[in-house]
Amino acid sequence: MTSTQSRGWWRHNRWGLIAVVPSLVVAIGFTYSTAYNAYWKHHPREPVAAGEGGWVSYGGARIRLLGLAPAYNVKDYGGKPFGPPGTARIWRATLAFEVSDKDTLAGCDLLLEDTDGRTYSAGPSELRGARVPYPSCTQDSLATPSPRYEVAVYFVLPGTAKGAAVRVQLDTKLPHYARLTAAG
Amino acid sequence: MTAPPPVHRHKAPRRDVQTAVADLGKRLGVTGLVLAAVAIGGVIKAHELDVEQRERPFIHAGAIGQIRSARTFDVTVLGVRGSTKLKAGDDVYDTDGVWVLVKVRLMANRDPSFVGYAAVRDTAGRTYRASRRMDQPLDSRELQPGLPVEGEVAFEVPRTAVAGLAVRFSSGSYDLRMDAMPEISLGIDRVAAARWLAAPDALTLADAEAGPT
Repeated sequence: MTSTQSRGWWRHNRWGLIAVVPSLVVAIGFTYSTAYNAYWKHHPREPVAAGEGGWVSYGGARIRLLGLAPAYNVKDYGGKPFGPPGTARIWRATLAFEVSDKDTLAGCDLLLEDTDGRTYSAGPSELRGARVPYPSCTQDSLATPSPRYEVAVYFVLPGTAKGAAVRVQLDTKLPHYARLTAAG
Repeated sequence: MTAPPPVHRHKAPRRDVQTAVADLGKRLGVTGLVLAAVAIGGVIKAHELDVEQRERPFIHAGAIGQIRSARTFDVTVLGVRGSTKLKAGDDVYDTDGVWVLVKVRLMANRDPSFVGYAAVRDTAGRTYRASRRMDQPLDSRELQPGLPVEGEVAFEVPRTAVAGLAVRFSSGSYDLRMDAMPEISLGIDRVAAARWLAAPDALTLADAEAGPT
């Protein structure tokens, strides 16, 4: 190929060659963006903080943390005091809900966050045998249906840990989750 | 009627010898470069890691009594025992191989976690997942940060694979790529393996219970 022919090839294909660069950027960027968003959106990363009055609007409902403290009066099904393993402590959170539909928050996950940012499941295996309600964001099925109701949720934390906030999360609303802190 | 235009014939001038040799040299040069590229590609292909090797888990090797991280939870192997019969619940399970029972202490690090994968690996590199013949006490146990749980995991392995086994754990159940994975040597020698093969009594699989906090 002579130098004249070579120059002709570059000139003939110049637009194709120029298009290669943005095509590669778009192809790689789109793949990266898709994978990154898929990873990001499947984890609770963006807390929804409380507004005025401590209410958090989340998932089509309003939620408020009424109380969060160690629980010392938990009983077993025989009515005897129930103790957690070792030096662990039971914590109780009371939540108020306002919903337009009773199933608005069905299937939610409830977690307790301690002052170090560690999280704990509601109603863990460590509470097996304790007479505590099944952890749920929906109203007790035996109660009179109401758009406003309260639920009590129990957690078990190491003796040295201190509860700081309650998280409410729905898989369909990730990466957003409601982060509720008690007044005061 | 006008006369047709005259036909002009063009013929490329004959190349001189010098130009022909130069063209041949260029063609040979290009051919050589292509062959070299193919050869180098072949060498790279022959020596590169495959996907299994390239994206393998990050192994944290350890021994009995040592704490090792599986990223979302920590593992400590407390002991190991074996027999040819295993009692789980009300049922007794026999085997042509050996039941290997690994007692572990597990604890989540920052968030609740499950054990998604438990397997033993023999000296030939073969892995045997935790048995599905019975309900494994730790299988569905959710671990909480700072609250250790102790229990046994049962593995059914061939008689010839028992000596030299190591146990592996992961939080993932099917995607184990590039994740932290403890590999703890169980310290089983041939003498212990032979003793387990001769043991007549069934071992009872220990349930999961809270460990010391």
